[in-house]
Amino acid sequence: MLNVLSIMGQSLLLTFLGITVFYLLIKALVRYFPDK
Amino acid sequence: MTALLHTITQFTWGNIAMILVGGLLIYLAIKKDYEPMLLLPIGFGAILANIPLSSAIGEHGFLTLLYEAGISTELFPVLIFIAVGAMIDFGPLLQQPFMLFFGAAAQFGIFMTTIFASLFGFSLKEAVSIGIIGAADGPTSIYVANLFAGDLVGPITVAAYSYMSLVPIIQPPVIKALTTVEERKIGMDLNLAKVSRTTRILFPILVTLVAGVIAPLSLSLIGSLMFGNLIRECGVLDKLSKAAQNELANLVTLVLGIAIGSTMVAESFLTWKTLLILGMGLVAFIFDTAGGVLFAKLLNIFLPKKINPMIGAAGISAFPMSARVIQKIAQKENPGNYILMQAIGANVAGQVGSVLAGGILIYLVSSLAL
Repeated sequence: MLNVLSIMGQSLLLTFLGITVFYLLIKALVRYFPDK
Repeated sequence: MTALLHTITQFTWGNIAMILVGGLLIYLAIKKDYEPMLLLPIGFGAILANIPLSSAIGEHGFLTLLYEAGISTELFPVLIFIAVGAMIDFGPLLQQPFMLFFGAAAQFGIFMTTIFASLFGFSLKEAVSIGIIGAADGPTSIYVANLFAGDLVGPITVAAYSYMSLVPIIQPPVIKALTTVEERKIGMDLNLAKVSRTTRILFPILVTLVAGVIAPLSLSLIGSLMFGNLIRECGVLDKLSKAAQNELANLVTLVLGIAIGSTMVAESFLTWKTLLILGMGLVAFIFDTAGGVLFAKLLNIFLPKKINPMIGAAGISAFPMSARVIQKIAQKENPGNYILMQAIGANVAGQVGSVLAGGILIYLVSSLAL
């Protein structure tokens, strides 16, 4: 059970980490390639 | 006459029950309009698979061949993702990238349901396959389930698509239980900046590269989704984009459904596991919705400009149904409230979040098994 909790915790954390990277990526894209 | 009698005598109560289940799925598809593109072929596939001595299944049966060619190999879910990518306009998400976080929060159901499934005695791989119903994303569910628990693909797919079609019934009571009327009346900014074509083109390429670095095993899913989107956004492949959105999506959906239905033979489907999976699928959708709403409420403690917490619930990837449900509730509370663009942004983010969460789970569980 501890194993499952550990994997779920890591998955949740990595999902948020990945999403944060995507967030920063979009922010950079919108900033450096604005709509003219 | 003897041959006819021979077939009839081969029927078991399980076969008859499964033919009734197939009939029920067809009824729900036609009369209730519950995901008809999937539930009707699944229902018919179940009927074909449960007629004794059926030539549709078995070594040379066309359904078995379709299953082995497209589902065992994970080819059909990946092709569906190309079609989905071509259908999705990531514009509302690129205009408000903050919505991405709701796409992560609304995957909460995956993790909670996996824990519950483990408590019920399922192995880790089976539990993850059941938990992934919470991705609210059919192809991801099929992909993960086939990888980790091939014998559970049938019930997991039926649960995933059934609950996706029931989003308008499942989400409103959960949202109302967790929010106040005042919170549901919160308005959102209507003036969103336009996004350049370069951004739209670079987005799928860079997301693929980043996802490949974070979780290489997610690339089949996210790479095909982003490939479909690149075809859509590049502006020079209109014919391919339309073919992916229409012909590819329709053809693969057709064979995917009937091939999944063929796995629903009485001996493997009529078990307590199926009942548990159907129950836990509902739990997954409830926790997804609750996760999104509670995350938005948590952010509201710190944000000077409050977010309508219902938008968090749109972070599940049942697109665009969830966004429409949220907009409907918002307008019911305040007829002038228009939050559809933010809800669609969160809904599209849910597509990215669910694929990413699925890929990360595949990566973690596979590396554990090594």
